[in-house]
Amino acid sequence: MRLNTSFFDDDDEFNMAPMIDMVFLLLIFFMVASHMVKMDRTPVELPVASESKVPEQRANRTLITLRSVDRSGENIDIVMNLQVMDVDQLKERVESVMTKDAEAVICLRADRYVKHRHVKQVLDLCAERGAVDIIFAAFEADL
Amino acid sequence: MKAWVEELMKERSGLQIAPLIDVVFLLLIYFMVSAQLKRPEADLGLSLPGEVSVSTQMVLPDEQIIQVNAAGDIILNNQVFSDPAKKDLAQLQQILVRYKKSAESLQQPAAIVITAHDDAFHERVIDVLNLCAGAEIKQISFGDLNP
Repeated sequence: MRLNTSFFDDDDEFNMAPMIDMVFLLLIFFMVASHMVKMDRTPVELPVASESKVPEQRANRTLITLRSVDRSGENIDIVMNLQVMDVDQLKERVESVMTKDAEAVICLRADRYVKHRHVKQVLDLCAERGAVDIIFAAFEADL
Repeated sequence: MKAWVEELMKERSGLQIAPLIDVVFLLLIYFMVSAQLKRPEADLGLSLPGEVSVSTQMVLPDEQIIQVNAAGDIILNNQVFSDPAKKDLAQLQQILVRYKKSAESLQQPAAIVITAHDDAFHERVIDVLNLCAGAEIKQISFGDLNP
C-alpha cells in the first residue's frame, strides 16, 4: 500500500536553517566564553617553575600583571583589570582592594624578563598596604 | 532551444549552504583547539611574609641568604650558580634540602632571605623560589641588597 498524501510529499527536504542557527549560536558562545576567560589575563611570558602547581580554585584573587615591553626588562607596563596604569594608580587600587577585603590574595604575573626592581616596587607597595598573601604566577613546565 | 540553455535557466539561484557550513565548522574547530592550546598558569604558592622594610630588622635564627646578582648568578655561601641552562641548580637544590633537614633536626625553622639585585631578571628570582618550594622551605622573605 502506498501512502501518497500531500503530508509526506511536502517536507521531504532536509531543513537547514535551524542547524545553521545552532552552529552560529555555538560559535558565538565559544567566542564569548574564550573572551571571558581571557579577561584580565594579559598574555605575558611567565617564568617556568617545576614546583608550581595549577590551582583548582583561582577565584577571589587580585591579578597584577607586569608586562615587559622588550627583553631588556627596563620598561614595563603594569596591568590590572585590563587597564595599563602607573605605580600611583596601582597603589590606590591595591588600597581599595585591601579596604574591601583585608585577606585579599594578590597574584603577581610578572614577565620572566622583568627586572627585579619592578617586582620589588610592587611587593613594597603591597606590603605597605597590608597585602601579604602574594602568589607568583609561573608556567609548570617548558613547552 | 538548446538543452544546456534550458538547463541553465532551470537552475535555481539559491544561496549555496554547504560551503557556509564548512567555514562555520572550521571556525568552531579552530576556537575549540585554540582554547585547548592555552598553557595553564600555575602558582608558586609560598607563604610570603611580605617584604621586610629596610628599617625593621627581622631577627631569625639561622637564616640563609641567597643572593641574585645583576648578571643573574645565584650565590649562596660564596658558591656561585651561573649556568644559564639551569643545570647546576640541582646542586643548589640538594644544599637547600640538606639545610632544611639540619634545621629540622635542630628544631629551628628553615628560613631563606632572597636578596636580588635591582637589575636581576625576575626569572632568576623565581628559580630560587622554585628551589625553596622543592626543598619545602616555607619561610621566605625578600631582603634588600645594600650597595
